[in-house]
Amino acid sequence: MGRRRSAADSGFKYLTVGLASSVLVIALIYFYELYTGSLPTLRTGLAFVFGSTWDPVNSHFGVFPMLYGSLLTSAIALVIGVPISLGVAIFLSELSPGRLRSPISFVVEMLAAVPSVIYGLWGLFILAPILRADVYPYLEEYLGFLPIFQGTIYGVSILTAGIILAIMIIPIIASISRDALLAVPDSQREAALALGATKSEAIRMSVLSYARSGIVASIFLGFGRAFGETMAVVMLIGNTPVVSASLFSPGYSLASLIANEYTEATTAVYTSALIEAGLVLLLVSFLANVVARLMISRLIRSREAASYL
Amino acid sequence: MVIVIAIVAGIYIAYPPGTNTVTSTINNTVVQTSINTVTSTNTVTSTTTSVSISTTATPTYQPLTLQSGGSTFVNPIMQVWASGFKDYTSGAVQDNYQALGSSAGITGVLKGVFDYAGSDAPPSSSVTANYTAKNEPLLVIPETLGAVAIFYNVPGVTASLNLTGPIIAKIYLEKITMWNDPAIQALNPKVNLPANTIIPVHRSDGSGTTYALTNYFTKVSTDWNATGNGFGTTVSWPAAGELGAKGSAGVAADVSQNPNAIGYADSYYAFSNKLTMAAVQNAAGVFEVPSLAGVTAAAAAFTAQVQANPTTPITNPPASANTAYPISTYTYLLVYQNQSNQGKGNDIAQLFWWIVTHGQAYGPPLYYPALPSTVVTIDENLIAKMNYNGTPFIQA
Repeated sequence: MGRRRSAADSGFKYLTVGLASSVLVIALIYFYELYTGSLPTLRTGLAFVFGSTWDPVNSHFGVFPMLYGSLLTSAIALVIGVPISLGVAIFLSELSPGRLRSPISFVVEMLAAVPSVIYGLWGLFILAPILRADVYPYLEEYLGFLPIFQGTIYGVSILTAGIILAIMIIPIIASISRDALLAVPDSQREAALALGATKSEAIRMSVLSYARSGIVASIFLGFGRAFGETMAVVMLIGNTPVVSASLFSPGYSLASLIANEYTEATTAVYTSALIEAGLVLLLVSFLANVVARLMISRLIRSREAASYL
Repeated sequence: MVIVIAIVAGIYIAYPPGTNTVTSTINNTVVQTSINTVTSTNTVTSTTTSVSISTTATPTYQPLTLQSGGSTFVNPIMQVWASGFKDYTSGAVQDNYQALGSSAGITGVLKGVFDYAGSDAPPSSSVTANYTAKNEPLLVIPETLGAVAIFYNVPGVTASLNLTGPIIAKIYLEKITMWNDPAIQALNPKVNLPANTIIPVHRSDGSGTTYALTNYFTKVSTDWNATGNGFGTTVSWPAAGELGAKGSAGVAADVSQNPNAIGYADSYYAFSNKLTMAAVQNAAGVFEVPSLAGVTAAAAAFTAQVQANPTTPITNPPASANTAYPISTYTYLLVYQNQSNQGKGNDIAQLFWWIVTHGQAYGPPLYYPALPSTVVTIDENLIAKMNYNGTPFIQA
């Protein structure tokens, strides 16, 4: 009996080890393929990352405007999406009456299942015309003293792409943050309330700070989704490799560059440049993840240190 | 591990290696009797030449499904051709054409994933030379035609504007920035053009339309050539003040949403969506809106050059073709000349032969101009080069 159980146990163990390492192997193969595929243009070194000319005919490749566009649209998505998501998460975990909780959670999670091409088409044919005619002119009129709200208004722009991305990352951030908040033990809330805190103070001081690492993780997952999003951004960003302070300006992103040009890239060096754009995309997401891990572990350490006081 | 297996299985299902499950060949009941009626299906202005196919025997087809793919532009006609050829072979030969983009098609053929490809821009000459050197020559066969239509959204202007190639190039280079620019006004004296800034919209994704348009610019615009941008499926456009949009539908959306925008699209999209198109001046000085006859005329004007090199671009035809639309382009079939599977190679050759002859009649109702009969002959001679161990499938 004992031997059978241990055989089953070790079999199960090897199975999970195999499954876990398959992810690692896929990631390594992915990285290796991107590296070897981009060797012909990798020789241009940092000029590829910081150059701003993208001229496939003459084989001049620089992706700085695309990198800028990717980072800027993701940042806009976080600025708009994070407060909304956290509001949803806090409402669902702390304040919502029990019978509202599951319908709202259901709707939020359903948003995550909408294909990105649907978001893109909806954005292009419905959202962009509304923003162009009814929203951006007012932004320019009242906030036009800021350089980010100056310039010609096109409808498709960095800001439009950022807004769609915000809608797309809300379900991810909201549902993971909600789970993190629900995992906070009731003793935390009760302790704060017992010390005379109001409900909002209790949420802010004991619940949010306790769930901080989970919330930060959800935000970085949302960032990863926004940074790598392709279809919706292709349709809404305007696909113009320009670095402009104005959010009304069209821009470009790394993922949309690859989606746009890969299908018709007919020379080896051109394909290589697009693969290298994918490598840059991967490295930046990787970097963002590492930063997130470091932030989370520092948060946990500081909380542990505080709890010993 | 499971994931890897699932991925491999998925790829296997999507691209079965060959289609060797059916090995028997059948004698097809369809006889190629209508060979000499072929030329009458071509709505062509140039002289009719008799088709010199000497095949009188009943062709045999190996029942299988061809795996092919490439250009999205030809996808609508490809699907019609696939079903037409299936009927023609009494259901023996099916064709699974996947509209994945020209480059995906070319790569698919080179890697053996696709049996043949459709491509708007021909593969680069270095690629074809490379494969010829390896003794694996590629055939690039003009299959049908398209044009690049220029359309615009100018408030208050419903007429078809007259434009010239150099002016269109200047608009895209932002050297002409206003709709009431004297150069545009001079060509359209009766139109009240507004003093608004033009928003040029180009294709952001690699496209045969960009290839044809920029090829045209290199022939007619000194301003364009001064930039050194050259021509290709994607080029470097001036960044400020322009929009890039994915697909013809994306360009059309950006143009319709932004007053004073100008864009370009393939003729199939422009015709089927009934866009108001600009008339572009050809080398004879005539302003032509895109038309099926205008595109065929442009192709016919390049017969000798296409005879010498099938991938010759056909933009800006000489003044002798005074009804030609100047921004016209071929799209191509791409296939290995030496086939390694006799049955499948024969099916591909028969399909190609059917496309360039019988199939052409399916084109005009779907807004694909018919090949000139002179080019049909060139194509037949190209298809006759397809062989298995040196034996051609079709006698030219």
